[in-house]
Amino acid sequence: MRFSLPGVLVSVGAAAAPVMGLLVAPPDAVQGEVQRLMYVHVPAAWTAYLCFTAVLAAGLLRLVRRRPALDRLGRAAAEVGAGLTALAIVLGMLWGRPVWGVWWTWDPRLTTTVLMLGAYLVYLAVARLAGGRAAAWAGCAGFLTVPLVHGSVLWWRALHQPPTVLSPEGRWPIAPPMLAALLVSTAAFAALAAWVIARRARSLAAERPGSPVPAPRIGPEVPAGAAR
Amino acid sequence: MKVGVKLLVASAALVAGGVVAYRALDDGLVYYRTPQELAASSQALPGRLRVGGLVVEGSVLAVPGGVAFTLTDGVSDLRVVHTGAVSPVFAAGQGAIVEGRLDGRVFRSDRLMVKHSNEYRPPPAAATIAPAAAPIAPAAVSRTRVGLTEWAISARDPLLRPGPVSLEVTNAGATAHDLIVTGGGVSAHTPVLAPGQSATLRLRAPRGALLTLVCGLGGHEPLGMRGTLRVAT
Repeated sequence: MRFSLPGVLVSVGAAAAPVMGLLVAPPDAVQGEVQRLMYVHVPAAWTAYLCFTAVLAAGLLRLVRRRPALDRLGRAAAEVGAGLTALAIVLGMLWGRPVWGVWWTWDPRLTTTVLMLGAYLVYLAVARLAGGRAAAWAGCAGFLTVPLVHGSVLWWRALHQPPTVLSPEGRWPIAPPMLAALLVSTAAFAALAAWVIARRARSLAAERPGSPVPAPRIGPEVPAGAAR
Repeated sequence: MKVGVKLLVASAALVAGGVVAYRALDDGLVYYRTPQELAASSQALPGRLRVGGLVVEGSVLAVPGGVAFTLTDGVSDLRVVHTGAVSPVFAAGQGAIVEGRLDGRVFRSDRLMVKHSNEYRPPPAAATIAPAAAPIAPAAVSRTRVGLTEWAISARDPLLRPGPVSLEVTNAGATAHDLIVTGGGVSAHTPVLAPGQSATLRLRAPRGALLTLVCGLGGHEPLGMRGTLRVAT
């Protein structure tokens, strides 16, 4: 059996996050057990921000120099980011129903998050249909939705609460075990996203016309008992 | 063909973006009004409205099929009668947003949303929210109410009488705030107030002074939490 460092990190994170979120962190005084959704909702949203940052970085570099690997990186990051944005929205709805009392409302945070998902989908469509510089521009423009989502609860009146950790006042009104669980879960999400993006970028490279498609690398690479 | 597909995608994205942006501008930018804004508009506001504020302690009353309570922004109060589902998290001392119609001076709501604060902590062994200091002041003292929200400081009366005044400061927002009053030799501040908490700030208002109000928590002033109070001459 072969271990890769990223794979080990992702596995450790995936094991540690549920322990922290379900056992170490206490339930919330006001919201009770349902508040534990924070340990997946917030990391999903933050990692979606990070993925768009990767799309932006790849796009900016791509506008400077023409390297197909950057196109693939941007596309892989956007695919993961779009999934995480959708996950954050769905988990937010599951959290909102018991706490806010509604599944959905067009408050600024929710509206701008839908806009961010739309920006991801537009980027992916352009990457697929046109690619190259057009996609890079779409990625850079789409990134503008990230500060918009973050600022939505600071600039406008919202139902969604203001930020706790990414707040402007540098004061974290959250109990330390809860913050620890949130940070561990975020690290796990970020590591998993990076790992999936790297693998996806590699598989996109293999999809290039004219290059041989390598055999899937899932499962034992060598038949059991085969001599080396 | 390929150009046609691109154009199609671009125009579809533009239309989708436009629709969402319109919704955001129409609905999102002023997602809810405050009780003070409702009180300030002289004519009855027709149609469906969304109002947000803090649920006043001791104002919650169970009514058939719903709940009645008073919503405040620290300055104006609004009596709400809600018919419909009530979230189990709903409680006095927390934020709430209601949708419905203004019926005279009562707001009739059919959609109640709980606006919880950005604070997370385990169930307390002892209560963490200290009761506000009992504001028993001599009758001669002029007093006004000051509301702290995201991201505004509003006062009921912009003009104070010279001499001892007391400001009843309520944090009607969803994150912590405080109030710092300076100007004309005055320098006073409240402790940091958790969402839903209130405090009374007593100070001596100098004749003709212009008092500046700000929230001292980092980043809150540039977001809009500043205001002034004028002292009469």
